[in-house]
Amino acid sequence: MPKVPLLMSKHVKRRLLKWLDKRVPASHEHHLNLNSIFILPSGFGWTFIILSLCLFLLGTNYQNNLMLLLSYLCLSIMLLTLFYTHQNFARLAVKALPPNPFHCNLQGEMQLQVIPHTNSPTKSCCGMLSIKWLNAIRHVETQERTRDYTVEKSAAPPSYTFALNGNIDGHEGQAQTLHVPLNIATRGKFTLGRITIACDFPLGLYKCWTHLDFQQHVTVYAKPLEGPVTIDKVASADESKSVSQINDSTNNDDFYALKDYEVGQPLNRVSWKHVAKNGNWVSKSFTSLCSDSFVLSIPSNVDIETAVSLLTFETLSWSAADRVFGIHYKGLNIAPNHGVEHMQKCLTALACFNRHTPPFSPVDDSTVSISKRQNERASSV
Amino acid sequence: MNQVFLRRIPRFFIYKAVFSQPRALAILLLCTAFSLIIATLTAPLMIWVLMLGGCAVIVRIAGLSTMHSLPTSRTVNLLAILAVFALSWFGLSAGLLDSMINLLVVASGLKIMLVQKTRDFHLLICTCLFLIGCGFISSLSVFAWLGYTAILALLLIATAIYHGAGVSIKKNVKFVTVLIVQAAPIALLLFLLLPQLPPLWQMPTSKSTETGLSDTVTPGDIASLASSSALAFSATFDSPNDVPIAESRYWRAITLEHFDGKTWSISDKRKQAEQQLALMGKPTPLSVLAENDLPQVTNYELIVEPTQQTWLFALEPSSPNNRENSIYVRSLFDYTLRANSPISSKKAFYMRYFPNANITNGIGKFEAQLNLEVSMNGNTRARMWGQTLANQYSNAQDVVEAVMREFGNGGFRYTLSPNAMPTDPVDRFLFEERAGFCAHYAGAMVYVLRAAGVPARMVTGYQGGSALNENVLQIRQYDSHAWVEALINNVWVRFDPTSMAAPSRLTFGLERALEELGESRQTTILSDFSNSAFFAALQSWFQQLDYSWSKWVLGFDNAAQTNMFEELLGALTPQKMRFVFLTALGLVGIILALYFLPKRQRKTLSPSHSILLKAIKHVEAETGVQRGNKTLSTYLAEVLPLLSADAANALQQLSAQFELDSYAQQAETQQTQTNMKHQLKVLKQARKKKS
Repeated sequence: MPKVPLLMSKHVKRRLLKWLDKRVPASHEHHLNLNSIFILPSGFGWTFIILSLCLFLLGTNYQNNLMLLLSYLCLSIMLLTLFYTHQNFARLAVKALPPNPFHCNLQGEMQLQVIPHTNSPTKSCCGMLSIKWLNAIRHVETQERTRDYTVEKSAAPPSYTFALNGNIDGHEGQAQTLHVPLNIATRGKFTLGRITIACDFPLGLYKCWTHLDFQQHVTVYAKPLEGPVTIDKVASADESKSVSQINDSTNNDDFYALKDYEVGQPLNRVSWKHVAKNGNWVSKSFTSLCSDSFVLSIPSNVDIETAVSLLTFETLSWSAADRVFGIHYKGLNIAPNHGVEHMQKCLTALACFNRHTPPFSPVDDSTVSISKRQNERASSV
Repeated sequence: MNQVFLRRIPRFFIYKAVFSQPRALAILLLCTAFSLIIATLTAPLMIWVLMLGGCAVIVRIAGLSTMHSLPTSRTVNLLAILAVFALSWFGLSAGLLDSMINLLVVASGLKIMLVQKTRDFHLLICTCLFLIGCGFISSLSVFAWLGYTAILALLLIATAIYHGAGVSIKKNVKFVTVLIVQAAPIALLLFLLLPQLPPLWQMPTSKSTETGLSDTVTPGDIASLASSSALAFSATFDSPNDVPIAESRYWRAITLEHFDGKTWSISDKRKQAEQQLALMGKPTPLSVLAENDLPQVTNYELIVEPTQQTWLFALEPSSPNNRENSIYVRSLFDYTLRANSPISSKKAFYMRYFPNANITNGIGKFEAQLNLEVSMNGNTRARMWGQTLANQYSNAQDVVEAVMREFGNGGFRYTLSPNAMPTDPVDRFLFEERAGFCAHYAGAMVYVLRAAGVPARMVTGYQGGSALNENVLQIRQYDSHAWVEALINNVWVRFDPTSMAAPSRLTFGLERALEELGESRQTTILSDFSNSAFFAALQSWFQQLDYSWSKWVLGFDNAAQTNMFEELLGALTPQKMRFVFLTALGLVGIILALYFLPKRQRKTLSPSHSILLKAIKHVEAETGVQRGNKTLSTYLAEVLPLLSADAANALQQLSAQFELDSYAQQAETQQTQTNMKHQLKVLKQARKKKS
């Protein structure tokens, strides 16, 4: 029985999100306007209205004009506050900064930057913003309905409050950044969903809110887990391959061997001395100091989640020691390497391993021009 | 000494910290507003409730610093239970309305000690607003309105500070002030245009605020009224000629026909008779009088202060003009008037006065019989005197005149502070004390007349009234009076025995009469002040203000509203009313648009630029060479030869300084501006010299 309302509310929510996609299209940067702002009296507002009506009744029954005036004054204040609340909130403009990846057992954060609104460059939004996630993860239509990756629990998502300091004169130059905590309990690559920003600034009589989609993607790494991992030293046959991959010719690398030159190898590796001496084209090979490279693997009978968690932990600890390593598990093969980029590559690959979600879920093509430009710039860099 | 000082320093810092915390400051303001409200509600509040409220505020304010801890919720709950018992114990005697107000104050006082959640704060704000509304039940003056509006502003500022994190207090105060100023026209528009409804249901009235005459008179009551100079009502006449002369300003309110030897009261038999006659549907003599179109009719308007009672006073005889009254007024068979609901706020009543009509015997023999009843409870000498009078004179008129003569010649003295007469009051007054005020005179006279076989009754009301301006009479509580009506030839004739003892009471009012008799109504030091010219002028100004406030704000009712519409639009039709409502909506919309539509931003020129433009205008006017879109330097080259030496010099300096100011990013802009202004002056003077 209780499943029916749950399904209903899910359906309603789905419809709501669809409608919102049309009304408030996703973008990296939002300047709030008439379309994107919703406003209704808050609980206090309704109490205030009821109070005004009570005063009206009291004034009518006692035939007391002063009570009537008071009630009309309260109602007018209510009416004016509607416009003041909206006016204040319509000065809010927010830009999203690309979120950093995080582990699913930890709390990530979304960074929102408060920027000057295009319509009111001089005045900014004041008051307390209360921010919460409407849906942390964007649902993709193609996804199977039964398979629910979302973290949303039945409990209402927590809301976070931020005091805007926009109007304090000393800080006008700096943009305020709001760090909104983000909880996603499963690993993978996600497109972030809508975030609800609300404000009741002047008197708390109205609640102004908006649901914004910042079109951000976040990678959630698996939870690290300490445990047994098979460590294989890379076989000698593979070694040359692995070594040749390290094409750094910087000084901290040691000379390793001379080999016959093959067409396609970089010319700066050619040992020109040998060429000049006897005409033989020989290329130099180098190896780094931590020359030992290993491949971490886990037997395929261990279940996927545990394996991914174990490998995540190992990745973190090996990277911390700046050692060369690769990863091998079932279909996942990552060649040995080191460095921060390598670590991120490994963690991302682990996070996405065996997930049916496409790495980037298709984003609506109805994006705002600002965001498109930014996309292009991002790809060209 | 030093140590004490040192110990105080941290406390000072703590209170300073309170001001930097918006929420604590908001609660402090809320506490202030709450204590101000309960200070104005002293009449309906019981003393222990006042004290509880005050203590709660003190506890809360002390608790704002971290040095003191707030009471736990258990303590407050216990207090609440105690308060509920006390309220239900005392509430029985206080009446419904007063106990509701007490309950509200107790509840918010207890809650104020425990404000933690936002919801509590909101609840308290709303309760305080409602208490302000309750305050208007008893206090209706301009100053009450201003004061309560200030408290409303305080509450709004508290809310604004509570919600506006980080916004400075000054900005919040400014915002709330602007908000109230902007809301006022809309509220006024709603007040003028929304229909004024009749009372929807009967509300409980406050016992503590009952004022004015009471429906029983034990000689002594009216004297307590005489010490009050509060306004009872004001009467507005159409023209100065309509205002009756001082001797006939008798405002009749209640007839007292039953006497038990000590106290005069409304007769129960009279009440029963009235009920029966009303059931039979017999028209009252006043309604008959109103239907016969008499030639001499004076229309007037009464603005009655709240009495919480139903009886009304009017010049005798007057009939109510119920077509315009917002509260229906009944007339009774003894020519008195009753409103259908207690007068709980200042109300306007419209009356029609028939100066030449008589008060006739309304219910035939019943009235004569009722008013011949003589209480056998004591007062034997007075009865004896009545019987001798009856034997002496055969004519009722003669009997009455004999009694009046006795009051005039028998050495009677008018005083507001007679000796107490607990037993046989009539005998002691007539034959021993011979000193008293209107109730003594009237009571004794009615008693004697009845003993002499002349039907007579006591009438209470007001007599006199001071002119506020030539159209308006103001009647105060000390004008309350009692007099006698005797039935002669089937007509109730008014006799005022007090006038025999103190004739100036009738013509010049109570204060003058007392002055002649060497007494004064007020026994305060302030009475000396009231004689000074400045104070008198101030007082009359306040009275005028209060009258206008009563007439135009408090007395604005359905009739006044309809009059206003009719004056604006002619005869009212449903179509026109629809038009009125649409206009109201439109006007509100226009006001909102004025407030909120983005204004076209004026291009702001830097001061130096504007000075330069002014200078160029002068030059253009003088030389006739237009600048157009020429650059400054080419224009100067063109113009300079045409100008006088002084002017050319000034213009050159001006342009140089303008360039400095706008391109060199100098720090001393103030300096250059004053320089430029000076140059502009020189330029102007040069031009003047030439012309």
